[in-house]
Amino acid sequence: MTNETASLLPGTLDLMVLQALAALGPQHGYTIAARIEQVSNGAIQLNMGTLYPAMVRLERRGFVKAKWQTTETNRRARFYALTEAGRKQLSIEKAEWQRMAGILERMLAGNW
Amino acid sequence: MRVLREFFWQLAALVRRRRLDGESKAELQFHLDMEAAAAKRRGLPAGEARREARLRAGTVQEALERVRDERGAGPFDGTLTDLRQAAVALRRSPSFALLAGGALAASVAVNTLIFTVVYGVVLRPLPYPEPERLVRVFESTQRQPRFPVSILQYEETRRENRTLDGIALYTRGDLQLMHDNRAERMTAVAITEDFLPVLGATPALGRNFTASEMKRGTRVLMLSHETWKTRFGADRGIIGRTVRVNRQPWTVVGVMPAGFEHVGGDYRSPAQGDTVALWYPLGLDLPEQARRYWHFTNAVARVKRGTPAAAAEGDLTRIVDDLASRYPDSYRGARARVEPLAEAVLGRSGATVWLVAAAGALVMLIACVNLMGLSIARTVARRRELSVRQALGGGAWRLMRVVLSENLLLGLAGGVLGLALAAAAFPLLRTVIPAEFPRLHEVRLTWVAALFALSCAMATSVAASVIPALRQTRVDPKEGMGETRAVTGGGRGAVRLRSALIAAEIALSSVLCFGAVLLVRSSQLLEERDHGFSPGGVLTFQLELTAPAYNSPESAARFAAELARGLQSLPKVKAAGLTTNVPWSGWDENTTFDLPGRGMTGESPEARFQAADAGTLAALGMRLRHGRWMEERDQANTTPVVVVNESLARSYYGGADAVGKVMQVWGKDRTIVGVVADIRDRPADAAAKAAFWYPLAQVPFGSLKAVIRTEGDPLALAAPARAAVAEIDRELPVAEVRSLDDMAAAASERRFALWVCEAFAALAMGLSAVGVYGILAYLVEQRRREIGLRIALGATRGHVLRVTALTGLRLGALGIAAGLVLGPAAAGMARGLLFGVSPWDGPTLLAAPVILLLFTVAGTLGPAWAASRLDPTETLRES
Repeated sequence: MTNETASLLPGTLDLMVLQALAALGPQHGYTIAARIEQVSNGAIQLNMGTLYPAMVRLERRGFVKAKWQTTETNRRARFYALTEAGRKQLSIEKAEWQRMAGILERMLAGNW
Repeated sequence: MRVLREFFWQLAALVRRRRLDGESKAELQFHLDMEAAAAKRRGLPAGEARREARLRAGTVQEALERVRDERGAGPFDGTLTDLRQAAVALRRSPSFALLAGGALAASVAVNTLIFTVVYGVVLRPLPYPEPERLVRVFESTQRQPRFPVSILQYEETRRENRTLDGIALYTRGDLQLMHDNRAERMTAVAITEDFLPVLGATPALGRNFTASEMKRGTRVLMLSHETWKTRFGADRGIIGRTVRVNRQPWTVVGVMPAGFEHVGGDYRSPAQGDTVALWYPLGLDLPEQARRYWHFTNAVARVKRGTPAAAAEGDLTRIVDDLASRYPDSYRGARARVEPLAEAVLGRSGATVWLVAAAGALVMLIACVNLMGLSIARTVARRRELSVRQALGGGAWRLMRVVLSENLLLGLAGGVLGLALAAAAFPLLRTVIPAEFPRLHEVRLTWVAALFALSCAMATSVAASVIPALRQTRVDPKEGMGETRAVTGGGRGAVRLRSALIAAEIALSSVLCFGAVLLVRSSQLLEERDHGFSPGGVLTFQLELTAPAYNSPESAARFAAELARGLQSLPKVKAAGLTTNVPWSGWDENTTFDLPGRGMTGESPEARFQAADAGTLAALGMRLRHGRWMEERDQANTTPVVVVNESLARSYYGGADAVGKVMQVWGKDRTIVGVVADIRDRPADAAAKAAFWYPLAQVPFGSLKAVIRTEGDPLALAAPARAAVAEIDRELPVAEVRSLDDMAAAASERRFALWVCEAFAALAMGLSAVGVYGILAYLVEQRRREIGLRIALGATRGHVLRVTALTGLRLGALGIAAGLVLGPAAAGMARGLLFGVSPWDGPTLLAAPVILLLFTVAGTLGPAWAASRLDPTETLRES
């Protein structure tokens, strides 16, 4: 079993969730976790104790909104949707992440 | 903004905790089920799939806890816990809670009461639309800075101004109304037709007066809402009906809206408020001379939007200047004076209100310092606990919150308790405010006051938390934890800070103490002053001999003579008389006069005119200085005479020589037959105006005051006096039945300031004593071992007592020394309320510190006594 929390950079989880919701539209927690695992090629496995506190945090900050809906298998599940503030936050964090990544890349590859 | 939103989100989450937990549980269970279903799809058997799901996703219980934690996280995490802990901590030290909370409650209570006064009298806007545009207009000369306007000035101003939306006149003239077969004197005001439009009001029923009705003898009137309700049973059919007023039929044309408030004024006007019962047209059709010379009408105006009062004053002065060029004898040297209505209503009382408010703020400041001192003591006492918290990683904000939440809890309790105290004491407040205080009816305990009380308490407790909380965050946990009870060194800084606070508290109290002592001295000196009459044991009432029954001067004079005889013959009556006015009642009627042979240069002398009969001198207890008072022999057909006061005699006739000289006034030469002692307009006035009296028989007046001196209770005489009036004129109502003592007392606003200052000074000094007590008790507690040791080593109990007491007294001395400077400086600002004493009054400088010292000693004795009683065998065994 991989311990996914140790390998997660701080702040990246929120970014991943926001990105997942932006790409997939409203989804429940399981799909979010499953898709993140899938897209990361299994590198990131989120357990509930990591994912759901993050959802609470995003909800409190007003980036996502939760609603109970029925799934295609006719079960009731809590669906999360990105809010306008969340969309804005995502673009800010995305840009910031890319900037940081660029800097790091230059630094790690560059000649000192 | 975001922090606030998150806070509310958290608050909501807290309230719906149970439901959210249920939802999270269902959500997590769903996740686990999906995980298991996926495992099953990969081919695992059911039991194996569930195990695999748990491994991959974790347990519901574990995740739920972390979700819960996350829900509560954020800047306000644990607020409730803090408050709960604070409540427990306060319960554990009830003496701290009682001292701090009680002191806070008392201060909040007095401040709430003061607030009701300040709010009602000063802050609450006057009840008219756009009240800030309303102004009072006066004619202003050197001699009469706030003179009522002449009718000509009003008419010219109305026509020629460029800065007003309207100007109106009003003047009081009471009417006698007959209803239910009973004649009743009603407060009535004559107004011009623009009075209501200027104030922005319209009648609730019927119509306003018209311009064509502004003539003497127009018998139409409007009723106040109250009069309509209580005298006419709220009959909507009243409009157009005739009622009997001044023994003649008048037509009711309108009813005022409920609660409509008169604008008030010092001269010929009831006070501001719902004080007028009847309204009728003001007769502008006076003879040409009177329209210029008479000043009996008050003016109120509404300035155009955006026009400052100063601009309006310039504009209206231009009109007076123009009048002066046409009628120099009437308007020379005059200008217009424009005063915001709110200012005019507040008048002289403004100083009193603000003084009282300042005293209240001072008390609150003292309460704050007091609570601060007590909080510091508590944090020091809890050093170890707090240091442990700090060592365990409690951040600065967390540690501050410990102090803050305790004080907030205290603040809330103190606020609620203070509000309850204020509500209980409110009826008392109404009895101490002088009756003629402006807008007294607005002084009410409203939700605004409640809000004020609570925020006052909360603000005080938060302010009191800041220093102790900041101090706490700077404590080195190592030091705090290692400290045992016997070591006191670490608390020394705190003790120094607290001592400074208490010295400051005493200094602030001394300001109030000074004020109180000075006011007590002022009122003592005032009581000793010769006021020129004796108010004790005198009944007065008012009569209005209205036309047409008393159309001729002879009929009025005849009535007065007959009534005086009737009153004098009542049992227990020592003296009785009739006069135009009694002292200190605001009578302000003046006339110019002349001395024979005075050249025509310069301004003619001016004096207050009054009239009285023979009995008035003894009834009012006035002092005759020279010559004689008027007597029965001064009749309409004998030589015209006057009696003057000392001020007039001194200013124009060389004092005692005045007797026998001649005063030319109201078209006749009148011989001065006597000089009486001065009676000032108000008890604390520096000097009296020049004044004189006509014999009522020679110059009859229709508006009369009866004065009856009795051996017993003056008010017991009211019924027989009424009967005596009814015997002569059955339809003449008797009004304003009062004892002269009550009127005199009401004339003294100083009384209110005095009462407030005394109460506040007592409270402030009580708080200081509590402060002194608190710090000494704490010191003694901290040094139990040391003191025990000293006693064991042979220190006498007297020595311990002395040393401890001296610590407290040193603080007192420090505070008092500061107060010696602050007190007189602050008293200087309230100079207007002082009488006969300067802020640097010697006896006060002596008395105030002694009183303060006594309070300090009171705070010192308890702990000092406790220290000297310590049993060394007990204290030395404590670790």
